[in-house]
Amino acid sequence: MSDTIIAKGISKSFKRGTETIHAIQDISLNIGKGEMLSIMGRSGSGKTTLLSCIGMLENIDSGSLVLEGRNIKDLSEAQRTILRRELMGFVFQRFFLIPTLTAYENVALPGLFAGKKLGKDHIMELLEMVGVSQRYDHRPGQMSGGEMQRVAIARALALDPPVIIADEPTGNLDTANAEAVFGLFRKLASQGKTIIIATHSQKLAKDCDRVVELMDGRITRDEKN
Amino acid sequence: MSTFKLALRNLAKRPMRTVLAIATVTISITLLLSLLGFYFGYNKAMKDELNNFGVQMLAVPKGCPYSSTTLLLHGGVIPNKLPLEAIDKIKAIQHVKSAQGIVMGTLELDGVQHIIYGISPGFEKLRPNWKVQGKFPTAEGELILGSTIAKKLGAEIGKKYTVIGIAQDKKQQEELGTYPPIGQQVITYKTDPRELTVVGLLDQTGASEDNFFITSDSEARKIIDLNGYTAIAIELDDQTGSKEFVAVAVEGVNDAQPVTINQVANTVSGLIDSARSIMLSVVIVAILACAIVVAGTALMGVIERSKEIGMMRTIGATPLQVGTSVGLEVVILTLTGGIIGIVLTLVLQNPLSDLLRILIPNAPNTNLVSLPPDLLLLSVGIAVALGILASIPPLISAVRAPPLRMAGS
Repeated sequence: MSDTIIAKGISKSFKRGTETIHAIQDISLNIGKGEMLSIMGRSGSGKTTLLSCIGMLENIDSGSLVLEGRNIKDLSEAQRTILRRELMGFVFQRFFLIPTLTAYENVALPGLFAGKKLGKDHIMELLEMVGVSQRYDHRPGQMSGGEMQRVAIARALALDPPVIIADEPTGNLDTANAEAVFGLFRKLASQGKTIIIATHSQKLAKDCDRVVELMDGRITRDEKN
Repeated sequence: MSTFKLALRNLAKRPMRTVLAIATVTISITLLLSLLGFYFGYNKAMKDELNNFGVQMLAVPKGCPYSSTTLLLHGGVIPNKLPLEAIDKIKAIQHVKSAQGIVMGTLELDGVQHIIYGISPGFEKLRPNWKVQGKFPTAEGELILGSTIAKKLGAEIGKKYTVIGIAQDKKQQEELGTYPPIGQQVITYKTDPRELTVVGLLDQTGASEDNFFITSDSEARKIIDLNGYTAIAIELDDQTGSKEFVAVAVEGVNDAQPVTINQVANTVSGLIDSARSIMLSVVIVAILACAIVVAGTALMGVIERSKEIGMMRTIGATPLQVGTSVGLEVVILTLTGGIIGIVLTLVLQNPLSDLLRILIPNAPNTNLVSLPPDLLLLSVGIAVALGILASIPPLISAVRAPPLRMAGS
């Protein structure tokens, strides 16, 4: 399995008043193509910062991060935005769909930013894949949490990125919906997508290929299931 | 999906706020267009009226020459006269091509007062824009009517009207001199009835004469019992310096005072230009206030949607794309408001002109609010400029919005 993401000794700290918070320290991690990885840890352990750094939403302070063969340290902010668009799909705990747009339009949105007109068939196919095609013309306010998260997953897949980053994607869902959404990620991984999920759920983490556990910004466990 | 659609949806999310912001722009643009339209319309109407006067100079009784000229243009009673012999003296001045005596006063028909305008033979040459159905009055007892009053009276050629003149008390006129002091009641009396026969109907000119009873000068003098002229219209030859020469000569004729049409035009323009500065100040303040309101509305929208904007940045929107979407919202607001403002002003153009004519004494009869296409285009440009100006604060805020971090649990 070739490595899609290679992190070597990455660290990130924040200032809070006069105090420096070392959110992640000296993290090294190789994530292979089609691998489904869960990141676990207590609140404040550094899961979110690690995901944000891998997703190029935060700049790393030190170390190196290579995504699909490109070292992000060499890239400008604009180049990172473009690379993020090409490589990553994001799924948030709170969905973050645009409330004024329909499910269909929310899925079409990444195409607008990438300057690509996504075909109607492609969008409907994605909605069909996540099981909400019948809700294509509904707005987020007219959908359940599970349906909104499925639309968010379809949006993350709109530009067919090789990597999906999901932060507590089942955190706001009931058990049945959580399992269904997780099943979707499983399916995507089997199709060759690299899936990185931050979760608190031991049960869901066990269903991933690999579990990385963090404590105080450092990896304390890195095991394959 | 398009940026335009996205901007429209965001505006539709808060309909009341959007409507209020558009209404602010509409009011500003309507105010701007109405004031500028009035400036251009009034200026043009006054200049057209002066140009249509057909002469370069007027001899009026001593007093306020501009007031006399305005009264002559729009109809009114000048409380003094030039003696009859003044016309021959003026005709005798070198460089005077022709001189026409004008008599103006008030008459009463069926208890309603109207303006009577007495003209001497040949006056029609000075007014090429006057088109008369029938003939010009040459003899006493003959009458032509302005289009508006003719319509009001249902007049036709051959119809007879018995009118009574309103004349100023001769004794009071002699005692008070040129102009009665402000607040002094003018003593008038009614003259003997005279029968007039309609010999012509004047086509609409858009000026005050649309409301005039026009007779020969000798008939008018009889109706209002005036032994003289209200003014003398002077046509000059084309030689250089003739205006200055004649002006000096006219000052030596009885109690006459020369006033050139250029002087009146410049005075009117000067007054209008002063008014324009005040108008523009009001408009600029209104537009700036409008820009602040629109900028505030848009900024509020950006702050409310900071998470959405952050999410858009996360899924690949560049700062420029986010800025374009926000800027487009503001431009849609201002353009919509601007276009509604233009339509509203076009709809209100005639009622506004009528209202201004009531409020402004001696205003011309033509449309006082002129909205030429270039002014309408300028308004669209101002609306867009307003949008660009107002979009700066929300745009900066939107462009600076960082990508949304993973929220964590």
